[in-house]
Amino acid sequence: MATKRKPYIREVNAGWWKKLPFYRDYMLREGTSVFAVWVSVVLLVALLSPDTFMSLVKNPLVIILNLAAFLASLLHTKTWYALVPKILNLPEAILKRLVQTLWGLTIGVSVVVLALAAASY
Amino acid sequence: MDEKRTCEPIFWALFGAGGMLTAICAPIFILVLLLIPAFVGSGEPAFINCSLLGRLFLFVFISLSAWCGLHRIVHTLHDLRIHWSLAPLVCYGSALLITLLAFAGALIRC
Amino acid sequence: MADTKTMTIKISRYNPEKDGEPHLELYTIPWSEKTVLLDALQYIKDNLSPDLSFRSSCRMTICGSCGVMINGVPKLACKAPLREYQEGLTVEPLANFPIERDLVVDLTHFMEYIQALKPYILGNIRRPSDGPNKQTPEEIAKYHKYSMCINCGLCYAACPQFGLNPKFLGPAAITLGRRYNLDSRDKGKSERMEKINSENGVWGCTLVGYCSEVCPKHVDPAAALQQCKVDSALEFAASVLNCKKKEASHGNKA
Repeated sequence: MATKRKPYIREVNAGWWKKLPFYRDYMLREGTSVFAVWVSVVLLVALLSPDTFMSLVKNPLVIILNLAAFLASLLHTKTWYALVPKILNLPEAILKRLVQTLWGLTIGVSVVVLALAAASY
Repeated sequence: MDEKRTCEPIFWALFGAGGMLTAICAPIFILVLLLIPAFVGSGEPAFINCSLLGRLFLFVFISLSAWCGLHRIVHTLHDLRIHWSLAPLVCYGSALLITLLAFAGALIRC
Repeated sequence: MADTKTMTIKISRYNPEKDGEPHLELYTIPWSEKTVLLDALQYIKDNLSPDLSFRSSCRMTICGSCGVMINGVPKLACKAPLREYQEGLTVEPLANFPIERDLVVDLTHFMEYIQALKPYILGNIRRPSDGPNKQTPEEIAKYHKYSMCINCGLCYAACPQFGLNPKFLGPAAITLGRRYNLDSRDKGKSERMEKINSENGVWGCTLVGYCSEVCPKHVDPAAALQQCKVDSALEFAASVLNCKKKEASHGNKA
């Protein structure tokens, strides 16, 4: 007997992530990776050629990119800590304390780095 | 069903390590190492001349930040339906190159 | 009932014998504060369009049959009060699955993947005469959340990775695998890990996280999958070390 089935398949196109705010946030989160690579490359230049680096960081376009990278890194930190509990099969209360500890660590490290930097300028 | 094992765990581990380290350090590093030197000081920034330990830490940061970012880019290309078979080779190759250059850079001036 | 409120909703219709592609049709239905979408669908079938096809059974978020997309979001029709959609309501079949007819989708992939992960106790040699296989509350707590799945498929409709690659085993199936891997009575982890370790296993996941958002039972598949990645990565490391050991022992013999 001939089948009368004719399943209709909806194609997923490259713009699927524009459909829901949740997907847009995901793409924004993944998009921070471009700036992670950018920061990595600029700091690599600092290690290999400090003179080039100093003229590079004073370039207005680079300043704008670095500012964007700063915002992207904050978004990365926020989204990363929101997802860290997923990899651990532990009670809710412990996970909450872990995330608080991570934020505390981040603030602590930032204060120490800032103090070291202030001493060296 | 395809049950071929992948090398993904290696890249995922590097991505995880990079993601964690950059979550802790990246905001303050960008502020102190990239944004403040744009307006304050001239000549070599102090952190370049810091201890070997400091330079090695910078190497680890540069390397893991690259592995983390480029791993995400490989997957984002797939998400955007950009089917480029060389993408993993190029991205992970770049991360490896950055790692090697950063390692050389960290040791070269000691 | 002079003050009966009415609402016009859009429903995706597709008749495989006549239509080339799905289209939206408008239906005006009476509703009250207590009406859920499933009531509205049944009203339409009874009064307006007897040929409307949709799945449903329990009407109380237990069976997981009535999953649909409401304004692009995967929901159970029995758990969607119309009062929350007064600004407009469009009903479509679950995303990422082939449409059979109207709101009915083909869940074959989903069912096959659940089967592939063997979501039942394996390798336990206890007999009924051994008495009940007791577990401590701590042992139950490890997997309890992941055992709440009702196989509704909303997480597959929410998962862009399943949409992009239908070979991806997906959230619910891998979560069920994880549920049994965590069970102290089960001995089948290595069998399931073969599936989980593969490219279309857990490594197809990029932690979008929307699966956990839409799950009507708060199972949190995204968490289960990330934990499977840790398991899989550890197994990968162990297998690399094992290879070296084997090579070394071969070397010793020679």
